[in-house]
Amino acid sequence: MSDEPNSDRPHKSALWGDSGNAWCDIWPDLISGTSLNYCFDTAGVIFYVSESTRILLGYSPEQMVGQKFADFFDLDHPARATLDELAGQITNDGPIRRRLSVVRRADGDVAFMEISEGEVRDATSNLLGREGMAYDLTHYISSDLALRQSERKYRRLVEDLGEDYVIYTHKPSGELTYVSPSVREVLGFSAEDLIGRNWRELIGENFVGRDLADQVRSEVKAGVRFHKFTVEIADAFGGRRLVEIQQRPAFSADGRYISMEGIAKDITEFTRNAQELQRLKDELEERVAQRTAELLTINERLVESESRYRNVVEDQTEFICRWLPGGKYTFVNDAYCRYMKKPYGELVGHSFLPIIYVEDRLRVAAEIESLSPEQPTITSEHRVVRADGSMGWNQWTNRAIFDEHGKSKGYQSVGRDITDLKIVEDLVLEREEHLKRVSRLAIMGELIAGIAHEIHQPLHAAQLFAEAARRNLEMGAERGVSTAIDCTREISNAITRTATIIRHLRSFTTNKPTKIEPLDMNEVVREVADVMSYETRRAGVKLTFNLTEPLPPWNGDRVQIQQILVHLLRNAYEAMPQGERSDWQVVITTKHKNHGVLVEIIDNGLGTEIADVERLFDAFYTTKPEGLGMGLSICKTIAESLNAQVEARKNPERGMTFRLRLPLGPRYES
Amino acid sequence: MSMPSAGEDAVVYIVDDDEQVRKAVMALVEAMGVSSESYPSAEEFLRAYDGRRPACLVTDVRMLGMSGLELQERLLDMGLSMSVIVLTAFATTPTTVRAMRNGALTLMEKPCNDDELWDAVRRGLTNDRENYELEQQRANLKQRLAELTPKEREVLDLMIAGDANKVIARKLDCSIRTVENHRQKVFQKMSADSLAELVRMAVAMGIVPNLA
Repeated sequence: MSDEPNSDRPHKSALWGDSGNAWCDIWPDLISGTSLNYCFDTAGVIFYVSESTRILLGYSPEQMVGQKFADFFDLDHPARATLDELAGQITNDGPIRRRLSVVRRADGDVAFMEISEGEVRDATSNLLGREGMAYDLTHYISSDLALRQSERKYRRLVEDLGEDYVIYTHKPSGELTYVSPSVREVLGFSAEDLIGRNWRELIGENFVGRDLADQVRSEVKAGVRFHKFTVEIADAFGGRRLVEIQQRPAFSADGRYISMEGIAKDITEFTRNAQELQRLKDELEERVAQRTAELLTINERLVESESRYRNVVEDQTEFICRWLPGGKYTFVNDAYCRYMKKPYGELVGHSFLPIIYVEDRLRVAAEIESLSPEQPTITSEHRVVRADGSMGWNQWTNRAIFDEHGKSKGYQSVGRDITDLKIVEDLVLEREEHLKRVSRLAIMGELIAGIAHEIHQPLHAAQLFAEAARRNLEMGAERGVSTAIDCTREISNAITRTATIIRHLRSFTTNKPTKIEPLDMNEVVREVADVMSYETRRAGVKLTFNLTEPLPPWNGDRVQIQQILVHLLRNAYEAMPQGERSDWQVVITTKHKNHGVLVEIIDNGLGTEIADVERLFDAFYTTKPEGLGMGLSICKTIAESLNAQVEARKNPERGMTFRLRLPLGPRYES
Repeated sequence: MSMPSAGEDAVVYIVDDDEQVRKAVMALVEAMGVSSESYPSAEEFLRAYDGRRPACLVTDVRMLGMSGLELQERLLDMGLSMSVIVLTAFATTPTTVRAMRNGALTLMEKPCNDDELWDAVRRGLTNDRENYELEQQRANLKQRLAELTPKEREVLDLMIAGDANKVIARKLDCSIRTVENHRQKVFQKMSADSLAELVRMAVAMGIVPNLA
């Protein structure tokens, strides 16, 4: 079927389809660095080869397309036998055939590639050609060949060892009595030079094996009859040679040790070569392991990306579109057609901008405008008119594709309908708001109960003074009247005190609209301490002040700021369980710093175990069994509404510090 | 025993960290004609305490530092007895149980009713005066008892047990004459006029005759 006209040639690969390109877009470095894919028709003419061929083979795709596949791939090679042996290691158990191929590179060299190849057929099962993926294995193969070469060298080395031996004898004193002439080959000395010298002289001060050589004499005495050790010996050229010694002592008829006979083998080169070989082997093994691992990962990622892509395309839960600058669709997937209830033809060629809500249109346009080669993607949410005319929320991830001049030539977008998600989100927000309100009321309720108790103190005193006055008057004692008068004065004081507490209570709980006025934070702190005096006593906490006077006035709502401080104080008290210690302390400080007023509440309580103290301000985060976890979250909310900030940090020693930062500025001008 | 309207030696201790409440209780106690001492904390009260006399303590449960209940327990530990009235602005069952178990005369809520504290303080003083006198008597008797020789003590125990002279003589293996001498010494040293009085004294001291 090679007579098919060119235009009818399959221009898409069945395996990768149109995804072949998208795929390279998604995994550009993965593909280009290690593999290329290709297709050729039934005549063996290449009609597609991936961009990665530039890096792997040095040809541009244009240079290869239209050429015979056999001109580049599956070349003959002198190392063919070795390659076949290596190819045997490739597992070949899938439907796709794999082979090891020698491939021509543009620079005249060859690349070794593992090829997975399969058939391409059209819908009616006509064979259209073959397509394949070639993994570059050049490094792996080359190093294997190098190893084989070095192994040959090593074998030769072993066979030629004869020249490296020296035979010698020496007296028990070490004085050499015979040295074979081969010593000249090994050490550079002549035999005559050495005979008569003590062999130990040849072993330098810091030479390897010196101590072993010294041990020999005592070993002979101990009855050791064969010695084998390695020692360094000085050669005639000022260097040293590593020598393996094998020797045995000779004895006279009456059992006296008379001489030592031995053979020394120069193993310097041998060792060096063995080490080198070992190193080479290790290196290669490591490289092979590394390469195998790499291939495994690549395969995994390929499978993953393939299945991901298949999911995206086939399951079609997400919308996929491509469009040109200006918004005109060049491609939309089935899912999007279904969503818009329009056929493909009615969408492609049209802009999506009209379906975006007018209020969101400018923002979306600006977001797309902001894309650059450095920052090519953006995810945005906006409202759209859905097929049935209702409002819906869409989330799109837009990716711009740039030409070499950095000009965008098109966009790819993946999106979905998130209307339901938005509805749930709104519901959660609403619930949260409601909870905050409820929790605030509950906290206020507790506070009122505390203040009610506090009123009992002056009432009790007033009651007792009244009784004392009555009894003084009843007795008619001499000083009775004046004492009674004193008592009534005290009653009056007690009533004033009661009234003050009630006033605080009222100002604190009335739901007044926010009223911004200049506040002296020292005064506010003292008022809060008054309101809290019952709780302070109940908690058994020593509350002290470290106030900076005077402070510049801060513009804010008195009640709201009091609420924050009450929350923070209560929070501090709750970190101080009664009975556990008796030195619980809270210090309230005020400072004027950096155009702002700081109020700090420093406690020496149990603190918190969590590392990220900012989490304390999260709604529903609590460490207290009965707590709702709303207190600090409310503080933060109120503070933010007043342009203030609440911060928490752990004290170096014990407890926590909560800081209310009140910036002074031209906000809230009245 | 009749209660003197104004025992010079009785005192009301007021321990409360609310100054106004302290002053009010003092005013009431002064109207009673009883002397009072007031302290802003349990710790200060304990530091100033200078010995046993008929007394009534009026204290609050919640105070900075040691609480009223802890003060009560401290007094018990130290063997100091006095009437204790506990005031509280918020009576809870555990608080009440603990105060009463520690021997409080009463626990009342602030603010209390007319006459309530007045009556309680008077009752507290009366009770403690009685206790104080009993303590004094017992101490006095103990002192006299300590003056007896071991022999005389033996004779006393047998007398209380109701033994006749000759039974005592037999038990102690001595003459009736000797027993009579000892008896006379016992009466003299214990300053008792009759056997009945001796028995009363023994009961007051908690000496239980061995009847076995």
